Amino acid sequence: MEVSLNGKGMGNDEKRIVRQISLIIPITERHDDIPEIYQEYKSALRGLNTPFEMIAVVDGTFDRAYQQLKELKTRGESITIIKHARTFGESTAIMAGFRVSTGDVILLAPPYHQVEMSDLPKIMESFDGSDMVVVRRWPRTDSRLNQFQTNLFHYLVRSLAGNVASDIGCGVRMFRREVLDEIPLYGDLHRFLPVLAFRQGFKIREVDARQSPKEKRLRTYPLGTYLRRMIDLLTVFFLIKFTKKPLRFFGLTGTAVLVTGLVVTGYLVVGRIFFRVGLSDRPLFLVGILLVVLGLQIFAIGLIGELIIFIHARDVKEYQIEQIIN
Amino acid sequence: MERKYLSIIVPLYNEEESVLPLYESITGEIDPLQVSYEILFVDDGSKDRTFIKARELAHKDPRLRVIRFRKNYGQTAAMTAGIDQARGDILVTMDGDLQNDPADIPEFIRKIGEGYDIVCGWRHKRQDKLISRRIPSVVANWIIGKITGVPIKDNGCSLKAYRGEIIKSVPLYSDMHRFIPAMTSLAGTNIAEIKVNHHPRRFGVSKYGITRIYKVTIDLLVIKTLLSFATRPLQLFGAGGAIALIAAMLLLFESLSGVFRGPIEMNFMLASGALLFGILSFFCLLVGLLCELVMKTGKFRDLSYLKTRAE
Repeated sequence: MEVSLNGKGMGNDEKRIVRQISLIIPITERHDDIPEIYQEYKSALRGLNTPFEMIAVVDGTFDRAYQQLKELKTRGESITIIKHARTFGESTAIMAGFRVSTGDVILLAPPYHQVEMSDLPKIMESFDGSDMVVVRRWPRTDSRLNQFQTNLFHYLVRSLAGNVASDIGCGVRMFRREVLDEIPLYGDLHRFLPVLAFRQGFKIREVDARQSPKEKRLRTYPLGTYLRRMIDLLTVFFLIKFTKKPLRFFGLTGTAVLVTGLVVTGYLVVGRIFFRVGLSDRPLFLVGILLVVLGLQIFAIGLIGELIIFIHARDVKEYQIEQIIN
Repeated sequence: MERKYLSIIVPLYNEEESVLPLYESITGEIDPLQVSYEILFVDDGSKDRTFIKARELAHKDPRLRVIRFRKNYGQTAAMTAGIDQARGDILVTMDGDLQNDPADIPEFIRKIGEGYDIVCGWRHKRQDKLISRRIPSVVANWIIGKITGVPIKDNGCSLKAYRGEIIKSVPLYSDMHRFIPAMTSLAGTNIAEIKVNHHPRRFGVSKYGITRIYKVTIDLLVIKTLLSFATRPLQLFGAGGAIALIAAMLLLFESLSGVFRGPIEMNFMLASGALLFGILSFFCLLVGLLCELVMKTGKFRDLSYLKTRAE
């Protein structure tokens, strides 16, 4: 008897049958003409010869897009529309669409021209045998500045979170339903979904698709956006590196700081006691004490973290089972 | 779920040649004992045909259960998964590289029957390289014994037997499988140690290297810290806080000494130092309280509860 857990136990050597694709389009601030996008996605999906459904999540008061979607619907197009009363963010929009979706495979696509959708069969092909396909826009047609931004961001992602995908800014992704079942998205984590999925043990594959020539517009963002991206990246970095072994990191850092502080303070105290060098005009003394205090605090925080993990180690599974036989 | 008397847990990582001989030698040794048992092969994301070979065997023998990981998570995770899924009253863990001898298992079961909670194997005639494996191991075991206070001669030997209810409540994560005896000593379990056979490696390559010394050292320090803090965090942090408070008092006194002796103003540098130490002592108290709270909310105390019930 073969038991597969949550249906993910197909093994890696057998072919998977895709029963239905759920296309989720989170409509955010940046979007192109919706009917045009809709038609493009629809004709691309038709070409796959697989049943599909389309879900558009309007994340906020984008009245024009919402009206256009409703018009499409009255004209008899089969599309599910979800409207948020205010902007909750792309991750929340994706989760909202995911909750009403019924397909065993989810396809995420942005509400603007990013990738030539005629490359969808290629994406579908490489999805076979993996759990998630991340699209890399290649060859690129957009401006040098945009490419530079992307490269810089990915350099940081690679060095902090590991080399999982080389274009996580691309919104076109195809993955099995289980991925979002196991990784609830919030905040701005949707961008890092490949990184999180890889960590969860899913097989990630990357495929090149031509960048849409319509994605040419030069894009710069307000400073706050760049800052937010950095904080997101740090969040993911922390989630990945230190949630399992907090004391390994904090303990080492804390001990290093503490030892430095003790050496500095000890040097000054020895001078005071044996060589009568006064402490009162030595600001270094304060630095030494500060380092001691800081080191102990870092260590203590690590210890609290470790205690929490230790206590809940039995509830937090460190491993993901693919399959159990008998 | 059907209870068994015995579960044998074997983590496997790229051991395709070992699967069949391992299965045969285990069944060959356990069948004559006439007990109900199961074998758990945990495939830790092997890249070779380990899983396929194990699956073939499992289709023929329902006593063999195979757990397959999505990717490689390491030996502790594999053992934990086996322990979590095991249905036996007695759990035996062993290596998948045929270096442990299943012929030793009956002796382990007998020891558990005598009332021990954990029985550890000791590879007294170890068949490994002297310089890179055996000498570091002797040193490491001595240090581990000294630091954790649980003197086991061979922590690295995977062949161990446990009373199921005890091991199922021990927190296992990171690379903690090496320190299971130390971890359970928190609950005051009885540990026995017996000599076991050790064969040279027949197939494949060793998955250990000298680099793990660093990891083991850090883990050891973590465990030592946990063991000393876990049971009475408030006491220890309270002591730390008291020391900081004394330091603060001394500095404050020193900073005021000029004021007492004559018309010299208070020394602000020393007073600031005193303030910092004062803050530290308060911080220690808070952390101690927080740790105490964390420990109270956990299921950690269940361990000692289990022990008293067993007696």
